[in-house]
Amino acid sequence: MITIENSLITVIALSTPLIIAVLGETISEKSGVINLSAEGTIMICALFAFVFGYLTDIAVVGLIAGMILGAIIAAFLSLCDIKLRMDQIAVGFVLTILCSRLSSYLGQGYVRISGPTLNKISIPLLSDIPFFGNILFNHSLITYISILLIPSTWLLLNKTTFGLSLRASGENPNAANSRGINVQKIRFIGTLIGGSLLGLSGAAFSLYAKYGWSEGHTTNYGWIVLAIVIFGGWNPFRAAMGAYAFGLLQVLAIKAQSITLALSQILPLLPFPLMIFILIFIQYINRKDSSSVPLIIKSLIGGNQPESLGKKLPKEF
Amino acid sequence: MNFNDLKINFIRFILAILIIFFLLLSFGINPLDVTNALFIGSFGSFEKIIRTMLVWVPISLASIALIYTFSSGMWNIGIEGQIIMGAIGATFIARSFLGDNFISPYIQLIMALGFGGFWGFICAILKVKGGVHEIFSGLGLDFVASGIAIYLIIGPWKRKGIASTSGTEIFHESSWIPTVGNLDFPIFLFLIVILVYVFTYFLLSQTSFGLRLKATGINFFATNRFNFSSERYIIYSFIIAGALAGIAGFSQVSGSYHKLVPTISGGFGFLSILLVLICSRNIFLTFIISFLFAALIVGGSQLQIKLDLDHSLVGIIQASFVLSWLILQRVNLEKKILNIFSKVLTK
Amino acid sequence: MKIELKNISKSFGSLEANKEISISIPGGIHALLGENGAGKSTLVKIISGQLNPDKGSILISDKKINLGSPKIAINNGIGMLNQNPLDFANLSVLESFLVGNTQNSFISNHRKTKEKILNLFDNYDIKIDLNEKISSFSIGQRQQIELLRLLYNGVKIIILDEPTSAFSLEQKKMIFDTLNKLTKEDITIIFVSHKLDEVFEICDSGTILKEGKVVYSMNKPFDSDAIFAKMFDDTRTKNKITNIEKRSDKFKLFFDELDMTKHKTFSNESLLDFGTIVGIAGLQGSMNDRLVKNFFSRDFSKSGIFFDNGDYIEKNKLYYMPADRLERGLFEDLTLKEHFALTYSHINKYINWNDIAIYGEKKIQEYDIKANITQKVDQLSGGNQQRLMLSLLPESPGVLLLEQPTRGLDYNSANKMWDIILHRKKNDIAIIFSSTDLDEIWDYSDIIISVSGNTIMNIDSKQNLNKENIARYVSGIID
Repeated sequence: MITIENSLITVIALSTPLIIAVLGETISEKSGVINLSAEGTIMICALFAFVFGYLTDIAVVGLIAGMILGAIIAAFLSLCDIKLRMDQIAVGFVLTILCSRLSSYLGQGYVRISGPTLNKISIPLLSDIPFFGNILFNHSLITYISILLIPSTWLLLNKTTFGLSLRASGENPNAANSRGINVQKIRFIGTLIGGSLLGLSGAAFSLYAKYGWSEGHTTNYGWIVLAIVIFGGWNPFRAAMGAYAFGLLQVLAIKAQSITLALSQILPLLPFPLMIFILIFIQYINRKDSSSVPLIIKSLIGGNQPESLGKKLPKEF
Repeated sequence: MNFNDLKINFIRFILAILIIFFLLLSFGINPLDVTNALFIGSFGSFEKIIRTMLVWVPISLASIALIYTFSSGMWNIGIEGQIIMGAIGATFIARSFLGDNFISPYIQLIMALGFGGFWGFICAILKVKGGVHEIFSGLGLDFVASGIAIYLIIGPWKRKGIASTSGTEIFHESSWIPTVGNLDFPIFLFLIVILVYVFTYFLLSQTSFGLRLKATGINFFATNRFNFSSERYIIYSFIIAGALAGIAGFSQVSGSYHKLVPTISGGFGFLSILLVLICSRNIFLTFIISFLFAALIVGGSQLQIKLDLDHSLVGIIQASFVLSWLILQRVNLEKKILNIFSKVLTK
Repeated sequence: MKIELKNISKSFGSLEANKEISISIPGGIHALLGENGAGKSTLVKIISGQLNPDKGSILISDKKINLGSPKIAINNGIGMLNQNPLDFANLSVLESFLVGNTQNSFISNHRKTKEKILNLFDNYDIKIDLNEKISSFSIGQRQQIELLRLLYNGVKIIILDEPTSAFSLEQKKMIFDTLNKLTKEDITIIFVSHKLDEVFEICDSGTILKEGKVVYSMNKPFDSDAIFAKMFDDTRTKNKITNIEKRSDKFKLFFDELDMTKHKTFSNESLLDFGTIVGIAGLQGSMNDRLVKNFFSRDFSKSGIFFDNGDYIEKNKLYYMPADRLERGLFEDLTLKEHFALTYSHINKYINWNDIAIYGEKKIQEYDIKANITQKVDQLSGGNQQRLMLSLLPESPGVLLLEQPTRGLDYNSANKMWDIILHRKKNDIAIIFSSTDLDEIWDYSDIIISVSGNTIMNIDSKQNLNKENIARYVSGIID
């Protein structure tokens, strides 16, 4: 029992940064912007958060620094998109390469040193519940934030006027514009929120889940985030489940290491083929008469891909 | 490319370099020192030039591969996976009964072509028949390919006794790409690249195939009127791109490493995406910039030795060069500068 | 709600799209009629705030309003229903209703708004589940939802820009029922249309525009003969068709049962001479263009063209020219030279650019294209692009399938186009074209197919028809 309990605690800890990033990317994509810089943004924000935490010796300062840098990178990407009308995919891709190299270069002095970390905060009473208490209510601040972010993101997207405008802009910018929505502004804010969450996710890596800094500290996590967003069908709850499932996969991979090395190396790559299958399925139900697909399957692996995802804004506005 | 384009590209190049110099200064690094170290590191000796060429080969091949998919309007982010699959195909032959036969490299080349082409084909089919955006399928296939490579390295192809991700057994020397005399330079590979350059130039500029590819990329919906199908040309472009990337993988595995390692692509696929963002369909520019990028990579080792600067600085220079280039292209600063120049000159 | 337009003028460069237009609408449904280029869409854009007029004013209930901003127009109670529903396929009905509606608090109070919307739907006898996704409704229902959304936002004047072009008969009925109910609530509707039958059915008053001016104002009961005369009168002179000797080869025009739901006067066995020109007349938004394309790509039926021995005419003898030049016809980033090379790309694997240049220069002269061979096509004017498209069709005899060959062209360019087309008549198997201009159909066709909406109303040779008949067929009024 002890091992299961510990494993579940590890799953939740490992999933923390991923959940935050996946939610951020979901918001960004719902507004119509694929933030392809996720891989680089998470990486360099992880470094920045660690450095700021180290210099001030306050972990929370690190979290904030990571968030701010993430927002700055997203702002740059968004301005290239809405003002210069550059290809968001091209800019995002270049930013990924630039940011990851920058993190290697700037992070040289910080490799494997110890700095502040986010302490575990046991929630009184709740953490005393046997088994579940320890799994759910004995974590760091950032884990609680990540859990709170799941319903908050859902509420933001589905229950606020802003969220509706954001989704409308990602679906059909022309129609949104004709309803008096400032699509450029909405896209900018959406990308900005998304980017700051990516930054926070990086901070959660270096200050908590994968404590410290080393070159390529968060390698491939950004790409996995892109896969999980699709896996989640652009739904915050499902995306979060995807992130937890990936956390579980990682723990299994660690356990498998003692049995077969191959399995432990390959398990973490599983989200990618899954992503492709989900996309094929989404296209399939969009094309065929979708009534032939059972509702349960549809809601589990279907998805609402934003209609104008990745496309440039119309020339007129 | 006419003379005016050449002038604009040249000014853009200078401006991008200036931006990088400024960036280096802001890091507290003397850009001239860096330039010097990079130059010596990449062209300082005959041996170094050959090393530069060995890096230039796969970058060139991958960049040309991307020119094909770029022409048909596709984002071939799956290029990394295509390189890896090419390398796996080559390794398969090198480890087979042909491994100690002098014919091995040539069979490897064919296998690499096939494996890479097949991986490109999957991406194309997912796009054309499955409607999956090529970015996501490409990204997914990259990781699947790398998963296959890792599995092979620590599974069926593991070294005797130890299973580790450091790579397979070194190939038999007959399976290495043959070199000339005492030099370590594989002239065979070099000839292939030159051939690919010439062939691609010819194909894109002088044949109906090239023109149709370009037309597909510009307007997917207008091609049926000219009696050809956009979908078919998208598939062609991915197969060719995958095949060329496969050769790049072959070059890596049998020309540089002489074994299969998990990081066999060297990140050259993604680097080539950066490159083709600048060069688009321009073969001459691809030739020059790919050489420049290769020199940067090889020269980067000198940064550590001479200036105590980390090798990752090279990546920063490459990426910021591309980013500056793209933004400059958009704001059209070059034209204004050119106008000022011509005004001054006429006065 | 009374709306008055006073002396509205708007020009684009040398083109006067609206000249001193004054219309007064006391209420009810008002029709805005006119041919293509008559100035309807400019006027509509001015009313809905998308364009600022050079001169003139708009009064609502005798109060002058500000012009030139969609937001102000919305605030003044002016709403517009576009030709295609401008909505969000992936959102629910409720969400689509609320987009852009800022009167709600930050967290939108769904239960209350839901009730309000449901009440509104009830008033118009519409049963729709508000949580259903927009994409699961038909275009007609989506237009209806859009209409109700405008009402929900308190719109008093609604402009309908040819909203029924894509509708089935039942859908049309649904919309008309709704419109009739609306007028009882003092909502004024401006109904932009080409279809006279619809106008006669639901409108109370109307205005006909021609060349940017009001030429006729009308009230119920309508004088259909006078309206026909005003709308379709023939004052322009067209180029003369030189008599071409009859050719002995014959071809057959075969129509699928699917396409022949109405009149079956035309026999599928009729033999037509080579060189026959078939005109497909129809109003904007009707199936006439799609029918032309269907001969090329068989999108919706098996209708096709055969030799008299029953053999198909091969696909590579079908030369198709779409109506949208840059969207489906040409490659905007390719030069003229590259386009010429593309035409022969299925014959020559290698391109001899010198030959292509010589050939291209010849074509440019022949087709009077005002451009350099190394120019990219997006720099060309509409007329030049159109002639380029024609020049790209192979020279060898075939079937020309032309969607609106003179769309958006001025008089001279259009005449030039027809000179070229008629020149090909001598050698080609057949020429099939669509047009919304009845004069053009009448002047050039030997066989005339009249379509209204998605239905073929009549197929006959020109001798058996007169212009007024065709006008009635395409308007959906059959004698």
